[in-house]
Amino acid sequence: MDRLNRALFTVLAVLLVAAGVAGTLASLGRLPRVDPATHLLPHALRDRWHDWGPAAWLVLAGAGLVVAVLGFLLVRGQLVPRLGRPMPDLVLTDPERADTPPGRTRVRSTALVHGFERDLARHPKVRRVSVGLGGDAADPLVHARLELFSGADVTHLQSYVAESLSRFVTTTGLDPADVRVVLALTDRDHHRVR
Amino acid sequence: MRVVNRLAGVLLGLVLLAGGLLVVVEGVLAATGRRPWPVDFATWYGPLTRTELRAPVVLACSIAVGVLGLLLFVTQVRRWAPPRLAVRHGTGARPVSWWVYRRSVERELSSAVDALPGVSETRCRLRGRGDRWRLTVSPRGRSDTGEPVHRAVTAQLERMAAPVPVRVRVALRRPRRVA
Repeated sequence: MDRLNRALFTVLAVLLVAAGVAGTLASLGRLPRVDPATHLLPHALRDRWHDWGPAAWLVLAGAGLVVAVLGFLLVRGQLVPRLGRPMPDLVLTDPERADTPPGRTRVRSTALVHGFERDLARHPKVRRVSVGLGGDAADPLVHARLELFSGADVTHLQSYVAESLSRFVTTTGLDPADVRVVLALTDRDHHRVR
Repeated sequence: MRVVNRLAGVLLGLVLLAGGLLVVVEGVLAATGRRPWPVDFATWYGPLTRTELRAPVVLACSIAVGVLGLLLFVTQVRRWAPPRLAVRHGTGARPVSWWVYRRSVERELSSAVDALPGVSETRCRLRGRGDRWRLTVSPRGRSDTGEPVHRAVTAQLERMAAPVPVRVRVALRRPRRVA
């Protein structure tokens, strides 16, 4: 979304510059074939609008609807998390065996997230953990944000996270191909004197 | 800047949504011959039919729009500092991409350098892209503190699993005079 925003605002900026330059030149009478004495809403345009009748208003209303939908999509795009939709609950089916009745076990994805978060938070240098689980059971995505205490050894932490991830994979049966860990090396536990 | 862009995106989206709905309501009411609602045409229609292109207000608005567009263009096109940078990958069996927040690295390094004797008010500026880091450390201290600062920064970068090599520049600033 960040790239799209950047492209959108760059295009908008170019349009604003073009409109500003055109307006300035037209106002100063430097634009060829444009009379600076023309009104902003010329009478010819107003007459033509009246000639079109109610259909013109309906077309305008349709254009307004398109703009409103685009605005809604833009707002929704800003609010969607980076990971996309959260992973649906994990449903484990019993292998077909003659000696047991068939059954299904549903594991809530929030339970998986909380379990993984608690395991990661056991490391003494981890202050806060936030894990996001996206994708689906066939192709899960794991994004973790670890806020650390000051002075944490990142290499040591990486080994711990790798062990924790192995436990997660063994417990859940999920095999995430995309695992992203972002670290915040905080220093808030240091009192800084200036 | 990304957060500002997101907020601006929400704002722009809300403006488009509200403006679009307003046009829908006004258009349908006008097409069916009813009174305009909620905005009366006369409030904006009249001035537009009376104002000429050469009016000072048109010139001022055009210049303002152009300047606004130019400022917006500059903020979007210039290079932004990355919010996060890559660190060395761990030795685990599974591929994990590791990142670290740039500002947190700058704060940690500033604290570590400030802990050295004779050094204070350290400012760190970390830039780069992906796993290429460029670091500028600017503490206040005497000229002979440059080497210890460099050593301390190198040790901290190793602890943070920073990708090697990191281009480190130590720019000492003159210490403040004690009155």
